Order: sequence, then structure tokens, then C-alpha cells
Amino acid sequence: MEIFSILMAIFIIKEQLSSTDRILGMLPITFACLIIPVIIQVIILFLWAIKWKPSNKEVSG
Amino acid sequence: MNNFDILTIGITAAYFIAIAIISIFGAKKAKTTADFIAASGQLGFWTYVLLMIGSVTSGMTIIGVAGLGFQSGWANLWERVIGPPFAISFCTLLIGYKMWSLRKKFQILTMQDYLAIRYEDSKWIRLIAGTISTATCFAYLIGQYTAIGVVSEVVLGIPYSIASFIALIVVIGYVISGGMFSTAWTTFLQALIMIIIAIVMAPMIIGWVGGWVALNELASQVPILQKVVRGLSETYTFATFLDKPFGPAEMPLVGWVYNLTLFGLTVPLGLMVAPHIVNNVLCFKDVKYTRWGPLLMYILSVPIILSTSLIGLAARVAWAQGKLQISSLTLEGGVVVAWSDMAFPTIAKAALPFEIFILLLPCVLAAVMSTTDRLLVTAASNVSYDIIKNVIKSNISDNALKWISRITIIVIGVTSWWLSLTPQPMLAWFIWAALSIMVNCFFWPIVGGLYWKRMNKHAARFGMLAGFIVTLISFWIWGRNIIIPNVVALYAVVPGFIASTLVTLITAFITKPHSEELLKETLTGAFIRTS
Repeated sequence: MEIFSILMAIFIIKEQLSSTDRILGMLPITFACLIIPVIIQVIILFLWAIKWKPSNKEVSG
Repeated sequence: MNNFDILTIGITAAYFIAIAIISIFGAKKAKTTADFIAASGQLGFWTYVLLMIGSVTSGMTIIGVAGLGFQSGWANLWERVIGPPFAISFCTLLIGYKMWSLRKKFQILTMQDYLAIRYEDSKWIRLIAGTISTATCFAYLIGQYTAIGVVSEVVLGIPYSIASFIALIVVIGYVISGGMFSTAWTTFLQALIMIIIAIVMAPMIIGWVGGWVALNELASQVPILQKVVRGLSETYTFATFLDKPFGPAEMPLVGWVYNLTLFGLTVPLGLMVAPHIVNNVLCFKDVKYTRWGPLLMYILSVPIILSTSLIGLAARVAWAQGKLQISSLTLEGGVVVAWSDMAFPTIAKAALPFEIFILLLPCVLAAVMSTTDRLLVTAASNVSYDIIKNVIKSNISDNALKWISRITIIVIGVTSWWLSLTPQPMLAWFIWAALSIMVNCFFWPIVGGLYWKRMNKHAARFGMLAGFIVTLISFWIWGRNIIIPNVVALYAVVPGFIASTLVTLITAFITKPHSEELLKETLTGAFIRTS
């Protein structure tokens, strides 16, 4: 089921990127190239923050 | 003198007075060499976050990125979302977090201190890294002053040399009095000014060309507009790529390969290991700052750089429509500013109410001074602490060291300003060349040093030298672009990066690694958190 959802999402994104409809006035491919690196970096930095722990070296002094 | 002149001078004077007051507090706080070079690791959370943003948001970010947005539009968008924002966030995450424990344990004040300990080489590696760092800081500094010249001439009508000299004197004054404390605290104010002004100005300017959607739709029409209105070719200055994320591989500047080599390699990795950025991660007070700090830096710095590039794109659209006239500016002494670099001040003058427009001068001053001061502190610590104290004369007194730092700041500040009075290429190119040297010299010694156990002093020394020499030769032979016609266009960083990588890897594999004990002590290995 999850694989099916992912495949559907990929299909929808692919359709969107190949369509001539604009997103906020931008070409879909431009919008995707802008937004995807931002989302990936924000997710990585957010995960880093919520999983963050002080260095054990520091804790043990 | 009319009311507008009085207002302009008043705002500029208020800015300088605020800087002076902050620097007096910095001067009182800076007593030892550790205070002067690294604020004795006492910077608070917001001071550190804004110091990182201010250190990478330079005159180029305000003037040069808008100029690039004018030329290539969205086709260089990775610069805005991967470039400097990535560098400061991931420098804190990948270097700052691990360095925190080392810094406390080994009393590390500068990047060269770390290299000396990690590679058991207290002299040669310091000498090589310190010399290269000073040279790149110097080149980076030269690129800063033009931005002040552009804006001071457009806003105040003050000659370039006078305006940039006044800014230089102010920077030198607060850096030699308060060192890193003054630098960090003034940058706190300067970064706030940049964030607020960039975020206020961009929507107003985009609104002037019709709003976000209209700006993007008009960007697609620029080829037709510039042909009909300006009588220029449809392909003039990358017009057909303004609405696209990148161009074909064989295109310089906008091609996807060029984008990857410049904005995927040179800018993010070069800034991430730049001495003036790495030294920042040795200045904060608590390791907890590495938790939310990286995310906050990213979220705050993307809007600044994205806003300025969109202002450049708005200027291109307005220019193609015939609403805006942009001409190159020849400053005194023959310094010619590329007409694309005039995009921001020109559209700001046309689109903004005067009361907002005059804020452009303190905004650019803040951008230039917040980077210049950090570079001056770094260059001074390279010469006084890394080279003179740790290589030439280890028993030098703390007081003598502070005076050597002050003299170095004056000499480097004034000579780089003097060199900036002679003609130079587009602002952005000058700084990217300095970043090429940084990535090719320092990426492997720092990142390899922290995360790879085989990395040793021979690999670090020869890798740095190979990167430095090959980068200089590449720029000398090819200039900034390496083009294989109809195949690919690359940024000239590539040969130096390949050379430094190959020399580092080969040397590391054919020579012995350092002792397991040292690697354990220096937290070396493919992990971030010690467990």
C-alpha cells in the first residue's frame, strides 16, 4: 500500500513537472528545483535538532 | 542641504554611532589574546547565529547576487538555497559540534590550532595554512569595498574612495580595540539590519513590477520584451534561461554542470571550511547552540540571499519592459562597476519611497563591514598567533601579540582598500576565486581530519599545496571558465579540487596514519557524536 502511494506521488509530481501549468507563476521544474533542496535541508537540520544530544565526551567531562 | 540629505546623513551617522558604542563595550571586554582572537568562547546563542549569517552575507550578497539575479534569473537558484545557507548550517553541524569537545580539551583558538594538534605538526602545517588563509582573506577583502562605492555614489553622491575609506577606518577602529568581541557584537546589529531591510525591500520591489506571479510570468517573456523594446537578441545575457532552473551542460554560468561546480562545490564547501567561518565555531559558549542554531541560520539566511536575487530578477524584467534604465558606473580612478551590479541600487531608487531607499546604504555598509571585520580578525590571528607566536617566537608576550595583531589589521585593511581602487572584474567573480582556493586547500585537512582515520600530516600538507598551486594555475590558464565546446562548461575550481583530492587520497594511503591514541583523543572517525 505504501509503495503504491509513493508510486502515485512520483507519478503526480512527474505529471506536474511535465505540464505547462505554472506554479505561482514559475515553471514547475524551476519550482521543484527551488523547493526540493530547501525541504531536504530543512528536514535534515530539523531531524538533527530533535535527535540532538550533548557529546558524551562533554557529559563525562 | 535639503531635508532628504539631512535624513540620509542622519541615518548613516546613527549607524556609525551605534557601531562605535558597541565597540567601546567590546574594547573593555577584550583583555587577553584569547579574547581578541576567539572572544574566549563566550559568545551567546543569538550573537553566534547572527555572527555566522553576517560573516557570509557580504557586499557581494547584496550587490553581486542581485547582479547575478539580473543576468541569469532563476538559472542560478542553487546559489540561494545551497550556497552560503548550507555552508554556515552544516559548518556548525559537521565541524562545530565535534570541535566543541576538542576546543575545550586542547585550548583551540583557531583552525590552525586544530590542524597542528590533529596532524602533530606545530610548525609547517600552521605556516602553510596560515599563509594561504591570509592570502584568501586579503583577496576576499578587496572584493568588499566596491559594494560600498556603488551604493554611496548612488545614494549619497559621495565618491567611492572617501566612502569606502570611512567604512574602513570605522572597521579598523572597532576591530583593533575590541577584536572578536567587537566584531561579534557589531555583527549582531549588522545582521539584524540586513535581515530586516532585505525582507522589507524585496516585497516592495517585486510589488512594483506587478507581484510574485507577474514577475515570474514576465521573466519568461524577457526574450521577446528585450527584442521588441530594446532591439536586442532574444538570447542576450541568458534571457532564455531566466525562468529555468539551469541551462544545458555546455553553457557557462547557467549550465547545470557549471551550477554544480560553482554552487554545489565552490560556494557551499569553500565557505564551510573558510578560516573566518571555521574560526566562528570556536567562539560560542555552549554546545547546546549546535542544536537549533543550524536550522535557524538556514531559515534566516535563505530569505536574505533569495530576496536580493529576486530584486535583481525584478530589475531585469523592468529593464526589458523599458521601465528602468540601468547603466554601468565608472567610479573615480577608473573602477568600472558592471552594469548588472547596478541592478539593486537602480531599481531600489526607482521603486522604493525615499525613506526606505536611503536604508540601502546602512544595509550595504552592514553587509560589507560584518564580513570585513571577521576577515581582518582572521588575517590578524593568522599572522600574529599562528605564524609569529606558534612558528617563529613562542615566548612572545601577550601584550606584544596584541600589538602585532593591531598592526596587521591596519596594514591588511589599508593595502586591500588601496588595491580595490584599481579596476577589477565583476564583484562576485573575485570572491568566488577566493572561495575556490579555500575549498581546494582546506576541505580535506578539516573534514578529512575530523572524519577519516587515514588522513595524516603528509596528506594534509601536500593536499593543501597541490590545491593551492593547481587552483592558481587553472585561473591563470583558463580564467574562471573551462569550456569544452559543445560538450561542457565548468567552473575553474575543478582541476584544483581533483588535484587536492587525488594528492590527499594517494598520500594518505601510501603513508602511515597517526597513532590510534591520537585519533581517539582528537575524536577522529566516521561519526559526529561520540558514543
